[in-house]
Order: sequence, then structure tokens, then C-alpha cells
Amino acid sequence: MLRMLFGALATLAVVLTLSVSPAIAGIGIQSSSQTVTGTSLGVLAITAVPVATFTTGFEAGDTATTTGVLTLIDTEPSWSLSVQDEAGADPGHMVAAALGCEGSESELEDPLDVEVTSALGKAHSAGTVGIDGEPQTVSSATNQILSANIFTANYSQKIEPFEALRTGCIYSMTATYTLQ
Amino acid sequence: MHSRWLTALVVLAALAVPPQTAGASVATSVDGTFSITPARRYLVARPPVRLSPARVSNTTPAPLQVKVIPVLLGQQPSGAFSFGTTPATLAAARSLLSAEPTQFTLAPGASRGVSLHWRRLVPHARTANVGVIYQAVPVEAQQGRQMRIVEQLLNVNLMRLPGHYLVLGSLTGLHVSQAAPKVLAFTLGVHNEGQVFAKPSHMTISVYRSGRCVLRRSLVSDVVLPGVTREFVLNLTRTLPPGRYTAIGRARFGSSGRLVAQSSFALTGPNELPSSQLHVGRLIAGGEVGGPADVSAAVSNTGTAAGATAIALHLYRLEDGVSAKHAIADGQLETGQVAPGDRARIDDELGHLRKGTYRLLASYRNPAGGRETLVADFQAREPQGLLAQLRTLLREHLLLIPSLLLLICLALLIALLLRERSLKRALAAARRQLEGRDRAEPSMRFSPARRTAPSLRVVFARRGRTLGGLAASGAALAAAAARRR
Repeated sequence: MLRMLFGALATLAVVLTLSVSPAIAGIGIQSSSQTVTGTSLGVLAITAVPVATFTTGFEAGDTATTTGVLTLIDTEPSWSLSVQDEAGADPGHMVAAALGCEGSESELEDPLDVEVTSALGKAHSAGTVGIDGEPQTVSSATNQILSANIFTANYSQKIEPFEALRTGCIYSMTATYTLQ
Repeated sequence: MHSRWLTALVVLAALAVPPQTAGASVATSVDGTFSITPARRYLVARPPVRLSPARVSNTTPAPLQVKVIPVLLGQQPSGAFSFGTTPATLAAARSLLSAEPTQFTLAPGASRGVSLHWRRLVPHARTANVGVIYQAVPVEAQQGRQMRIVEQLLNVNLMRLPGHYLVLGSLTGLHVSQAAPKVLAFTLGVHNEGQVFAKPSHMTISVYRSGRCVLRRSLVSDVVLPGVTREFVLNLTRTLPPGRYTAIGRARFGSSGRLVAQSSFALTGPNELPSSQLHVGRLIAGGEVGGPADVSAAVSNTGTAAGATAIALHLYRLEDGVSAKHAIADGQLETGQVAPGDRARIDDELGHLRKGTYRLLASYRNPAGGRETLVADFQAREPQGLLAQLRTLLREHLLLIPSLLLLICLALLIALLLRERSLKRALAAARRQLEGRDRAEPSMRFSPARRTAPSLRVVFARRGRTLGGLAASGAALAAAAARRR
């Protein structure tokens, strides 16, 4: 019985303390309010993990494929990601290295294709795009903020059956990704 | 019991992982980013003026070589900003907006400011749309890698003088297309006719069937630069059944009031527009030494709508069976519109052939969007003499000669028939005249046939045309006169 009485008193004390405390806090203290607002500055960020090599099918009559990863941040809901090859001659085509490629095709007949995909519902993938000298949009959105979202770049290089590729010859190209 | 609970917890945890982390196994290799802030500026000021510095950061583990490049901005129909990179356009951009520093190395985890200075406007202009490209290349050499990557971030600065501007716009049209299987794309074209960048508002797409609205969607607006037509796209995945529809696009743009564009379309299946399926069949190439290569290809359309495609041609010279490094000629074949179910043959000439063998490559995009390449190897023929050319002509046009002969025979036959008909008519007329001489009003002309035996020749004529004649000797005439008496 006594225990119940103490319990009820303790509960009452806590409730009273909580209800009265703001009034106590206000006694003798000057308060003023200040509105703090922050306007987000737009941020653009990109990271593209370079692809070391094509993993399969880099031979005549086959299609070589490999995958790269892009991480994008864009606080503007309307954004666009494009890719291009800024090489002066025949952009978009993988070129043989200067050494170790004697007798091999100097460059591949077909341009390198890329498809950039993501799991974002509002990001629109342009599908498979042949890289060339002009910027090609590979992904875009009109209402999708990017916060370090992962995009997968699926590269595919078709090699025609009639192309002569010397063993060990390295073909390469530089893809320039632009986020805006 | 415990193990069952543990299994259930593991399954639940796996299900709770959001789908975006599906790529997380790949994402773990990404560590940090190359970034800039701010991304866009909308500035009202009078140049020259210094802009607040942009901050460039590198949170990747590798040092980056950064270049800062001011560029003049344009805009593509998709809304993406475009920029020129020729020396002249880059110099023009620098004269409007300069950046300092223009290149530097950014260590891992470091960031630094880039000061921007809006220096002036183009004479008589009140606005300037200038971008700044921040280009990053890892300092570590990417040698030996098949794919080398350069990262670029485009900062957009839309700047204008204070004051009032005319904000006007129009809708250039509403277009319905197949974005993907079962996905329709409604594209509303908006043209900025005003003096300054602006955004259209209240953009909607409504779809009507038999006068009843079956769909209504809003479009997200964004900046349109002056003089630019931007296409706002709505991808529709909600299924519309086959039938005829009318789509209406509506928008407002500044003081232009309510704008409307309309388009009708038919669906042959659920969310399926009629589409073309163009396939390029056999590729034929050949040619004579000293002349161009003759190229011919057959195109068929197995789709449900007319369509056209372009075939890129590259002609290589073959040496020991291997094609030369560079094409000796390039060209493009345009098919023109091919009706559904139709076939078309397209021909072209390419380059200039010398003695030797050649390889012609023809590439085009197939209906699935993939690239198809057709190959035709051929040897340049020696030029033919006149006799050989005639023989070739006869051989290649076997049906031409008999057809010509047949035509000539027919023409002769018709001419003969006409001649015979006219002679028959003349003869019939003469007969009629002879049978009724009194009515024929004959004109009579005496001609002494022979001096020794006087005779009379009577010629019947009407309207100057000789119909027939009679000749009689003097004795016969005397006998006839006696009979009449």
C-alpha cells in the first residue's frame, strides 16, 4: 500500500515538473529568436572508375564487353550525362597502340558502344549509344536529384570477322564524360 | 530453433536492402568524387563584376589534374547545354567570363576556389549564357588501359542586366513516338521567342479517345534559352488499348497566354504505334578501272509503318587480302521512305577505282537498334571496248530488243490497216458515184486519147477529189447516142 502511494506521488512530481519547467526557464531570462535559413548551393560531382580491359570476346568476329562504374551527384533535378571521344581522327574508334601492333588493323571498324543504366526510376537511359566526336547523351532526367548514385556503363565493342588483329596488340580510347 | 530464427532474420535483412544497392558490389570500388559548387547561377548584375568563387574538390584517393575552361552555351532540344570548343569560341567565352586559375593539380582530399570574373557583354546584348567546364584527369598515367576516362563537370551561368525583358514563347508541336516497347513518348516542343531565358509553366498532356479524356499528365518545366526550341518529353508506361487517339499539349509561357498543340495517332496494339522495320538485304558492289564503284543494296520493310534509313558506305582497297588503313572513299545511301511490306533498291557510285581488289563496308542501324555491317569484296574490271559494250548491253537488256521489234511491227500493222481502210472507203465512194452518175454532178473533161481513134474520157470528181472515171471510144459514143434517140 505504502509502495503504491510513493509511486503515485513520484509520478505526480514528474508530471508537475515537466509541465512547469518552461515557465521556470522563462523566469528572469531574456529570450530572442533568430531565423536561420540555408539555401543549398548546387553541387555537381562525378567519379568514373576507369576500366582496365575488356574481359571477354576481344577477337575478330566477336563482341567484346566490359563494365564501368560512374558515381554522380547533381542537386539540380534536371541533369544530363553525355559521352564523347575528343580524338581528332576518327573519334569513337579504338586505336591500336604504336608498338606491338605491326600488321594489325590500325583502328577498329566499328565505334565503341556504351549503355549507361541505373536503378533510378526517373533517370532516362538513352540506350546503346555509339561514341563519336560529338557529345552523346547517355542518361538524363527532368525531375531526379542525384545523391552519389551509381550508374553502370556497359561497353561493347563489335569486331568484324574480316578485321585482322595481331595477338597482344592493345587497342584503346579515351571517353570523356560530362555531367551538367 | 535458433538457427531457424537466424535464417529468417538473414532473409528479412536481404529483402530490406533497397534495389539501388544492387550495384553496391561494384560501387564499393568508388571512393570519393571530383566535385564543384555551385552548379548553376542565375545572375542579375552589371559587368564587370566578380562572381562568388566556385569550389572544386577532390575526395578521391588519386591526385587530379584540373583544367578550367569557360565556354559559350547553347542548348539542345533535349535541354542539355551544348558548347563549342573551337579556339575562336573559347576565346569569345574567355572575353566574357574569365577564370583564375585555369589549371592546377588537386591532391586527394583537397579543395580550392576558382574565381570567376564577368567581364563584359557582347555589344548590344543584355544577356550572357556562359558555362565553365571543370575537367579532371587522374595524374596517374592510365597507360596500358583499354578505356581511359576523362571527367568533366559543366557549371552553367545565365547572366543578365537588370531591367524588364520580353518573355514570350510558342508551342512548335506535339509528337507521339515509340520510346521503347510498350512505352509511348509524348514530346512537346516549346520555343522561347523572348529576350531572356525563361521557363514555360502549366505544361500538361491530355489524351482523348472518342472525345473522352482518358489520360492527363503534367510535365516538369525547366529553363529554355532565348531562340531555342526545347522538347519536353513524357514517357507513358500506362497501357492504352489499340485505337485512334488525339493528344493535346497545353502550356503557358510568359505573356503568350495559353498555348495549345494537338496531334492525332493510332495504336495498332497496346501502347504500340505503327513502326517501320527496315532490313538491308544483299549488297552488290563492282566497277570498272577508271570509274566509280557501283553500289547497290536491297531494302525491305517488314514493319507496320513507312520508314527510311541511312547506310554508311566505306570503300577500302585490299592489299594481300587485308584492307588498307584508311578508306579511299566514304558515302551515304539514303533509302527514302519505304512503305510497309515493300522492297526498294538503292544505287550509288563511290570513289574512283584503279586496278585491284576492293572491300565495300555498308553499316546501318537495324530495327533493334544494333549496328549491322555488310561486306562486299570485288575486283575492278578492265574497261570494255565498243563491241563488248554493245554485247553487254544486249546481254543485260535481253528483253529490250524483242520488245522494240514487236513495237515496230505493231506500228507497221496499224499503218497498213489504216491505209487499207481509207482505200476501201474511196473505192466505195467511187462505186456509189458510178451507180448514180446523174446525182454526181460530174465535171467532164475531154481528152484526145489517140488521134487516130477519137475517144472520150469522163472524170467524176466531187469537191476537187477524183472519184472515178470512164473512157469511151468515138464509135461507142455514137452508138449510145443512137440508142438514146
